[in-house]
Amino acid sequence: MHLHPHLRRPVAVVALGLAVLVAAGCSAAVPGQGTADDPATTLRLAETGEYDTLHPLEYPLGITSKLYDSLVRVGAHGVLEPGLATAMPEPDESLTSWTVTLREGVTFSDGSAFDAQDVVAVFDAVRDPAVGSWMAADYAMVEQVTAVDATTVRFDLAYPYAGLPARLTLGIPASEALGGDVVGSALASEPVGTGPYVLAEWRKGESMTLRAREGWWGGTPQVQTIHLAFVSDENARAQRLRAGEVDGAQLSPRVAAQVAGADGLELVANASGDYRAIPLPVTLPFFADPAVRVAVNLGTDRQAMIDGILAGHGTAVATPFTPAQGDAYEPSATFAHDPAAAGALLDGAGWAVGADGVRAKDGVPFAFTVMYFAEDTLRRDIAQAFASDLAALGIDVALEGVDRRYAVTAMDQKAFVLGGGDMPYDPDAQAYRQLHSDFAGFDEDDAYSNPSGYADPQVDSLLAAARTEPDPDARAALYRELQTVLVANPPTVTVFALEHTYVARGLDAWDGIEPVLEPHEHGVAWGPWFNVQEWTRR
Amino acid sequence: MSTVVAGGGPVRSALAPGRGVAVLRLVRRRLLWAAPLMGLISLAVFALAAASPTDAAAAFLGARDEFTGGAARAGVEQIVAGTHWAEAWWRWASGLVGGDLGVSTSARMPVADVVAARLPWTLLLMVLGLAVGAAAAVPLALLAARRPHGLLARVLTSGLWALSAVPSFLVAMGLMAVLALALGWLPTGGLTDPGAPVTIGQVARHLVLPVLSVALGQLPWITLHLHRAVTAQLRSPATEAARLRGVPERRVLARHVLPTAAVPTLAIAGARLPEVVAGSVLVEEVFSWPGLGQSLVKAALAQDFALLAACTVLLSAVAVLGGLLADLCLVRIDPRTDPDAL
Repeated sequence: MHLHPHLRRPVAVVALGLAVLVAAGCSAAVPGQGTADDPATTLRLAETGEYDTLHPLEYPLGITSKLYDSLVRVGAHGVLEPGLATAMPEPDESLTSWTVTLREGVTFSDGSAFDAQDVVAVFDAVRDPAVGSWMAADYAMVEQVTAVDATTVRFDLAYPYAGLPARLTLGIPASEALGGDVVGSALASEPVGTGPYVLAEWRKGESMTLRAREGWWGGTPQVQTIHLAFVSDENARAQRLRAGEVDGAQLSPRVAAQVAGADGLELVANASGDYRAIPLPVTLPFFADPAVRVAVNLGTDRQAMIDGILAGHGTAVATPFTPAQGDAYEPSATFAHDPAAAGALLDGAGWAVGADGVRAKDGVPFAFTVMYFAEDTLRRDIAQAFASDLAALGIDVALEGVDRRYAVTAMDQKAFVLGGGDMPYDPDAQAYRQLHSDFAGFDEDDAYSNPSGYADPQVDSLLAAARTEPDPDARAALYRELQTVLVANPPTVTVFALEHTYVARGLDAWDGIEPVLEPHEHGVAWGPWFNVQEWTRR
Repeated sequence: MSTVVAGGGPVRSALAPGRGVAVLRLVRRRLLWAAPLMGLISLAVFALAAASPTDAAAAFLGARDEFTGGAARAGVEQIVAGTHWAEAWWRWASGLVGGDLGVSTSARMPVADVVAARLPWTLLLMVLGLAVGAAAAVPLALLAARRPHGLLARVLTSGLWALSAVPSFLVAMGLMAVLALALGWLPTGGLTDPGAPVTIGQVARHLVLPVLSVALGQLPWITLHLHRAVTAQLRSPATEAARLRGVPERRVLARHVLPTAAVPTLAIAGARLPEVVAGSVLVEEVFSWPGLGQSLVKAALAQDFALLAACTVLLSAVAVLGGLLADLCLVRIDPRTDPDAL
């Protein structure tokens, strides 16, 4: 069929338009470096989504740790070690003044020299409300940061605080580049750090390329190039892995287990401080009684949840503390799954099973709602398993998928599947805000802190004693004691700490791959790649 | 009005005298309308976003929301939601006059940069998808219309109805599973192979699956509309007359049936253009295509006024221009159209 003559010209116009569009599209992206990357020193990873920002005051403990160094860094097995500091920070006897000596001869990616002023600037900025860092409250103990000389910084605290080193894992940008609040700062997309990699290219919405920094103070990384493709859909990620387009990605345990084993892919699992818990609001009549809270804990089959939801990649815990926290973990502070004992405790507390099968006391039925973020399937699965465990005890649990805005308004009346463990490298950071009665009052603007409204004077005093205890052994003993108190008077049903699961290929070509304790944050900045800058070719 | 077209006679010549001026009047009228329309739309966007039940600070913080201590939240809220929407709109609108589109809180960069980096990719995907869909629709519609009650027509129309009910992300996932994974013919996503430079060859290979997904999304409605119009036109007196005069069937189709049948389809296409762009979101998501769709969703959820308004105004502009373009085509194809009445 020939074209109508008058339709020919539009076709030509459309074709021309397309050519222009292709050209515009190609020129809109920064062209690649052109040189072919050596596959032996290149990693191609699929990330769970695009980064909102690369600003270290918004995004700690993530991909930013490749671009920025910190005074203290997370090492193998989650042990803190000196980064830009020459040694771990030294406290005075009162734990109110900490001194850090800095590495000399370190430069930022823009060529400027790193010194004490940069450290002062970033710790001033993180505490400044006008900068808008979400971590501002985590530095409430810091009163003043002083550059004693070019290579010495002193942190003066408002109160004695033993957990400071974990808070010094903040990435340090060049002070000149900080520039205003976290939205307006150019650091969001143009990082200036001292880290082992620099940002070579960021194709917004698609991918990012990092290149090793020649002459990084820790030695030029042997993995020269890291390509990060942003693939938020998990199935798409698994498919790109299997197709050989990428060498590694984070996948949920079940999908990871399906993908691993074929196509040269292996599964890597790291322990984490990333726990899930269901707060038991003491404003609800039944949860005022500690015996009832213990019973609900005994009635929860944690291992079944780990096996069913996480394909075994999790650790049952009874408190925010996990075995990965070493000496601070009390192995005996756990809950067995014992529905019979739970039933007896509930009977003893006066919550008897009624004719309809639901327990009640003085006409009040034992029924409550558990909320979860509607988009989070892991939390949904936990809520469902929890509800069915409690149904077996004669407790009526309604489930409600909610958005973030609603969740914070209802947390004093409804239980909620909570995520925790953003900073597991110190027990105080892991637990204080969750357990201390200072945070028990309900406040929509601080709803995730102590969401049960829990208050126990013994817990308060142990938390206070532990954060001011200079001796590490004595401090760990206080946290272990705390856990024995917590299982007698539990604020939550803490279910498990996740293992973060990754699938990777080609790891056997490298030495230096180590396990690490991961925070709530996850993605390809963690997993086997967390110390990629230190890998050596076999 | 130009002469009635006779089978072998001269085709409709360029616009009759007076019509060109009328077309210019149409263009000017539409564009003049567009300016206040955009202003009103942007104002509505700011008002609606402020009234929406999403929480700007929570969306800005994302997963970090859960770990943000109460004292820190106030600082974040001041930055992302500290201004009343009317004041925010005024700032945005006055900045716009000076060529400043503002800063996107969800992307943490100037809105102009977000749009410049992403819009070309969305347009490329959409225009190609629409073009491929339309190009495939014409033969399908003709095929089905030849025997409207035949088996082929029935299978085709019911198949297209079914396809139109399949969400675009499912189509995309299905295409990926078959063409990329099972057969390994095409890459599963991205703009280029990981780390490869952006070249036309690379982009073209990565463009095939997303374009097919978009095209398959557009194919059903174009074909079904066209099919209906072609069926009617094939049996119209004008067509019969042409046949009786001995005009070959191919010419009948090309000259008498298709141009007339395209009229209602084009009219709908103009109106559907913004929907096509907005519908790209899921396809872009599945194939990690760096278009504007992802940014738009993020901006909407985060009450990112500046980016949301820019995207909405852009979409409205596409709608206005799409409508105008469709009408211009109408004027061109159908001599009975009066530009002043459009």
